Amino acid sequence: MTRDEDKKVIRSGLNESLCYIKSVTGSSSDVLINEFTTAGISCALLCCDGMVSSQAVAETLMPALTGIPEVKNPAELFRCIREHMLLSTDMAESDDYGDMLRRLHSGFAILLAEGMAKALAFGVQGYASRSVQEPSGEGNILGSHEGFTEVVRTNMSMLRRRLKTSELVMKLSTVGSKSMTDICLCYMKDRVPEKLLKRIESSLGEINLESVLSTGYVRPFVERRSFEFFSSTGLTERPDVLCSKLVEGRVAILVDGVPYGIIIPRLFCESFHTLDDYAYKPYYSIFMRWIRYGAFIIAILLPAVYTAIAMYHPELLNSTLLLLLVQEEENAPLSIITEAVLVLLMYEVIREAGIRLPKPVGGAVSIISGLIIGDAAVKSGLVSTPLLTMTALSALGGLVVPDLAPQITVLRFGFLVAGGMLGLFGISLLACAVLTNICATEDYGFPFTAPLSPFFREGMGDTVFRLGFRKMQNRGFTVEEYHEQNK
Amino acid sequence: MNRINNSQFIALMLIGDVFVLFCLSGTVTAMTATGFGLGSLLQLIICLPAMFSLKKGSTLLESGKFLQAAALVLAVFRGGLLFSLLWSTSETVYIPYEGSGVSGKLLVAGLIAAVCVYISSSGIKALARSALIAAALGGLCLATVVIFALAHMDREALEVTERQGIFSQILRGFGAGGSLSSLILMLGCTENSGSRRKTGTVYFFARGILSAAVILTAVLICGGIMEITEFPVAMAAQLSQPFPVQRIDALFLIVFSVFAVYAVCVEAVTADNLLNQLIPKLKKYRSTAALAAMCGVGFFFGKALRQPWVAAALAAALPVMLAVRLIFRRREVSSSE
Repeated sequence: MTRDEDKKVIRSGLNESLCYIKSVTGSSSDVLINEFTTAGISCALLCCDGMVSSQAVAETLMPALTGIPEVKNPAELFRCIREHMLLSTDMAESDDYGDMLRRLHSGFAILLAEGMAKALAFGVQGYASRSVQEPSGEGNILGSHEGFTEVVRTNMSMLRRRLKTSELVMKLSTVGSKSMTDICLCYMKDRVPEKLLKRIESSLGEINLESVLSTGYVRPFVERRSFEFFSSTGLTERPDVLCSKLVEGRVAILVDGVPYGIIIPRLFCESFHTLDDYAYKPYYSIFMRWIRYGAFIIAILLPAVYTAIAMYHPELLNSTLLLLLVQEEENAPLSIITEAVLVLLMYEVIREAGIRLPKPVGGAVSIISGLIIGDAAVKSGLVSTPLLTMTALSALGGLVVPDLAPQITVLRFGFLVAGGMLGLFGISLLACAVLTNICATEDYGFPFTAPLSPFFREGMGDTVFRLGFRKMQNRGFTVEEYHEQNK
Repeated sequence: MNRINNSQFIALMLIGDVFVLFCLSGTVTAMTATGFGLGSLLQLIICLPAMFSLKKGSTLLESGKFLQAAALVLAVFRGGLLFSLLWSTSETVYIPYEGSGVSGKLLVAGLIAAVCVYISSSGIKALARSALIAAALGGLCLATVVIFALAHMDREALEVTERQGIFSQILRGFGAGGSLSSLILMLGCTENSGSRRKTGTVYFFARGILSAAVILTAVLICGGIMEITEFPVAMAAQLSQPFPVQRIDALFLIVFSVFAVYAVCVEAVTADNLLNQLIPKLKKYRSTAALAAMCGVGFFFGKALRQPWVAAALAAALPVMLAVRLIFRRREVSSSE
């Protein structure tokens, strides 16, 4: 449908209207048209097959609509339905075909009447969707086990259930000229920085895509254009996590069809936080948080440091370790760097296969990769055992921080090449560049590396440490504290 | 212009100073530590006029073409000195390929310059933020190295007297902390113009104390072998061994490389900003051009730049020029009144 056709007003002739709708929809099989007469006026009820609840249409809508006593004209009929009948909680009137068809395709039932240049829309959506299930990627032990689903309205209800305050605002709008995807902007109106909200709204206004099918379509519009290795917006599939961020004054975007919410802004240190941190005693949470920081460093640097030490700085190893290494490596036919790159590539291929393959075959992949390839490679002397151990540790470390998995994967290779070619010197140089890139990441004036640099002493209570709730409850933290211009 | 906070400014400047200390060559004694402390104090005194004018909101970027050009030349020479120091010390700390003649030296310089081009293109804010983290991590690594090295200390080394006298050591200390173009430019970028004088003073005191502490540690550890030690600070790190059969001096290489990058970056960003004022048309390749010039200067004039009196003259030039300008301005104002 073109933009002109989109604004075309509804014709008063019923047949004329139906012909037009059929021509616009290409007589699509899922658009159902039920013609009937009620109150002495010819009408038509339109709905999209599979998008409406047939039970609501058959048991509530149809009996009520067909049982209206005779009226003088179609305007009287519409007034009667609007004012005397509560057929659905979401009822609207459309004046043009564009709005009417949008509602039709969103699961509304549309009533057209002979002689009426308007349409009545009843919200009776009832499409098949996945039920609320446990999040697949953000597991926790002591918290809620509910995750977002693909239906934006269900996700909105999950937020409302956790934040029963009128300060929580959820604004629905549509993006994508073809997909007409519902997106929901969520914020706490007493907490969110006004400038941040306005700038995000204007960024969303720049989306001019034909379709929006995942969060990845929206995120580039709310992030800075320059190259940022780490993303300054976060994703979560947990309503409780999203609520905690909203309370901190952040903005969230829910996209219909995606079980994830986008959080703006996100800080680097938050990739190492989990909801369980706030359920356990602080000493254990602090310990686990540091384990995660360590795992991140191991995931990125371990193969590179191993290669650099083995190739350029063997003095760092004590004599026992050095002898062990020499013994293992002298049997391997490939150089350490080639060996390391090959093992890491192999790991990435296996991981990708595990993700893409159907679940029943996933087990087979584990057996082939772990038992056959891994065991055979070591036994044949193709790969040395210490290197395989380092790679496995590094891979495991990466799994501890799933938020940063893409960055870890690429950086691991980058550092490996730098370490293999220039030793610790190369690793140091690349580390400087990466550190600067992380520090340059900043969206809407919120530095990604806050509260470490720029340093905020108060922020350390939930970054390096995890204070108890008795201490944290009086703080009233909002993310605006980290805005550079507000200092 | 981007704004940085006071702790970021101090971290940024101290990194460069510590790098120069890593590359310190020749004999050092307790008097050298005193000389470096007094050298910092002297620098603070000659920088006071510049810091007063900064307090009033005037920055180096608004100080006229002549002073900007002079600051640019000094930044390039300072960068050249840093490259020269890097080349001379890198054999001791073991940077791969560095020992393979001119090509190795150029490779090392090229790699550092490439990283510096990227960092300076990210802006002062990103540089300052990352410098703060690098300084904190570097400090931690250095503390580890020093703690393990202290097991080898020789207290009698403190009693060794300096043959050249205190004035030569003050001159040495004065020249070592010579990044004053960058100091004046970066101080002008700090957030609170009212506290710039205080920030500058804190920095000079911190530098004096840090320099003295590092040198004293080197004296305590290398005292017995000072006569045959070319780079005492680097050697002190090499002597650090946590266990009898395990060394950790490669940790020093990491800190050395990271501090080298940031030290050169500070000069590159200074030159970049000054070039932007002097030749606004030169948009894309300002920092690349500045780094190439620094490499060239380091390669051809490195030996001369490492002379204490040359380094001291370069360090003193800009603050003196700014002071003279300030005096002339005051006279002009008073005569017009």
